[in-house]
Amino acid sequence: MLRDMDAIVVENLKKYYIVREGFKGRKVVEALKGISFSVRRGSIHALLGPNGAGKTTTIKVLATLLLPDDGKVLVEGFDVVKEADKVRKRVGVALDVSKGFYSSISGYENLVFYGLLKGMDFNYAKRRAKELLELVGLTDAANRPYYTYSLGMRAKLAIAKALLSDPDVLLLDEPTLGLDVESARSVRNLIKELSTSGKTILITGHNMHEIELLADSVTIINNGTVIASGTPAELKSKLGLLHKVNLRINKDGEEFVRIVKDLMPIEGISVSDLGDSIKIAMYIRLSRDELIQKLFEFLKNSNYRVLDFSMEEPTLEDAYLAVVGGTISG
Amino acid sequence: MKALLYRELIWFKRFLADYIVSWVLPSAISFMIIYLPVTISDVNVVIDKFSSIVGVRLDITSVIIVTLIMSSLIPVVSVVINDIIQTLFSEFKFLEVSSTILETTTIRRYLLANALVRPILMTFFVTMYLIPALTAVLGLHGLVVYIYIELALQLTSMVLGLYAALFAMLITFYTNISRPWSIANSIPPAILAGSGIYLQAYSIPPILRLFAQTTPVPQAVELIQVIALGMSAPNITHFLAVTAVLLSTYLTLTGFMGVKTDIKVRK
Repeated sequence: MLRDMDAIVVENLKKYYIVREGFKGRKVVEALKGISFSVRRGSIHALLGPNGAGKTTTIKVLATLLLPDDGKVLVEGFDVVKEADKVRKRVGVALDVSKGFYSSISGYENLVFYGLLKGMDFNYAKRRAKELLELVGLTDAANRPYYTYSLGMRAKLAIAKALLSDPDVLLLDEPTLGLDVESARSVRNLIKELSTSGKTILITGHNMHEIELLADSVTIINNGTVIASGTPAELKSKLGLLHKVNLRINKDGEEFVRIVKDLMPIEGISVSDLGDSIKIAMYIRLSRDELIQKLFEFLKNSNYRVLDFSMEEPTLEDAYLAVVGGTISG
Repeated sequence: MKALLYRELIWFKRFLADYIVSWVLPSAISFMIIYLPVTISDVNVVIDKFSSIVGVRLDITSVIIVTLIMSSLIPVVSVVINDIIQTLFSEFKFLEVSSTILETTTIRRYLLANALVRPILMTFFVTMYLIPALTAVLGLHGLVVYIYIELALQLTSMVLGLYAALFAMLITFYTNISRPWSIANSIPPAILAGSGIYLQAYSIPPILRLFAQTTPVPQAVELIQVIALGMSAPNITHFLAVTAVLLSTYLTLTGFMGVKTDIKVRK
């Protein structure tokens, strides 16, 4: 069901590939087995999954590079099959950031060429190419042939290309793949800024830390099906993953452990005597809200003095591994 | 169209050295065609031979003009055929700029634009050497001859562009060929040899003549000879008729196959 606030709507998307096997044999591979998700306008949505899960195929269908075999895919309300031209005008794509440009011509010339292909006026294409090269920090390398660009520079140029026509929707397939720490951070900041400026961004990647920093919502796909979706916080909470609580109390660790074990589902615990205090580390399978409420209520009503407290939340990576590993279904 | 025009001009600037080679080579070939036989026999024998090929009694200046102009067909045919086939193949198989193309336009539009815009520009670029060469031999009249020759070559190259686009599509999207140059490099010599360039028609094997007849190059050779010989009212009807038929046939075929290929590539 298309809602006005959704920039991307994918409903029951199916995609098959025919793969050759031997001399005459052919095998049908189901890349997408009916996935559905939507992306709110102006948000960053991450598509996660192991290699071969169907992330890039989904991006390619949204970018009109591939035709779906079944299902409905709308971008800004336009059907990717029936209104492909309208969709193309509204999306910017960065697929495999390490290539996709003519190697013998410069980054600037590649961008102008792409702008002209998109139907821009020559002067506007030149102006936009200059603006975007400045935005991604490639002004100094603008006139160097593309083959001299480092991987980081290529990634930045790919993002500049995706932004050239000032699209409403950006489809970025692993935009920081292979980048050094500094380049990856500058690309991340750029993506965040673009989202703040109102662009809808669909991103894929394997760096869970990065996705957690960037994404407002996540869809995890595996073997061509959606296995979990929601905001990173929802996903972690829904999956009831382990929180690690570190405490330092003034006395009687054994008594403390006995009481706490009755209060909460504790999966693991370790107690160390530090002489003047007791250090306790607990792994608790409970949502963050419940955990804090129960623990603090207990501490308030007891006569333990808390000397130190810290809590480690499960990461998106934990959630991802739990879902993809099959231990928990989202 | 604008994008391809822009890219072609950039490539011309970037690959100027390649174009200089394409100017030097045909000039050298036309010089060698006259000079080498002269060194082993006599200039009159060479003039007689050329006169028998074109069917008109020539003088040495006419021989130079004919060889110079005929040699311009070599880079036109080879550059257009090779470039159209190999560029499409590289774009989709090596450079992987296919997503850039597919996310902005359709294969049909891209191929048609490529097959029409690029040959016009490339033909102009590779035959630029004719302007100073013909002016040097014929004076200002050389410019008029150049314009006639250029028009004939441009029409020929447009058909060749569409012809090459069909091969390019077949090689890139319908076969597993990984060395397209082995095909791209075989087509121009076959067309040129079958067209009777520097040869009398009866000496050409029929299969080559038949192959060449799938392009307007044999008719272009006849027309160019007539223009080069300075005949005041060359009969261009035959050339135009063949060009029109082939142009419309290949235009229809490229358009039709372009639509099919677009669906296939996005499948």
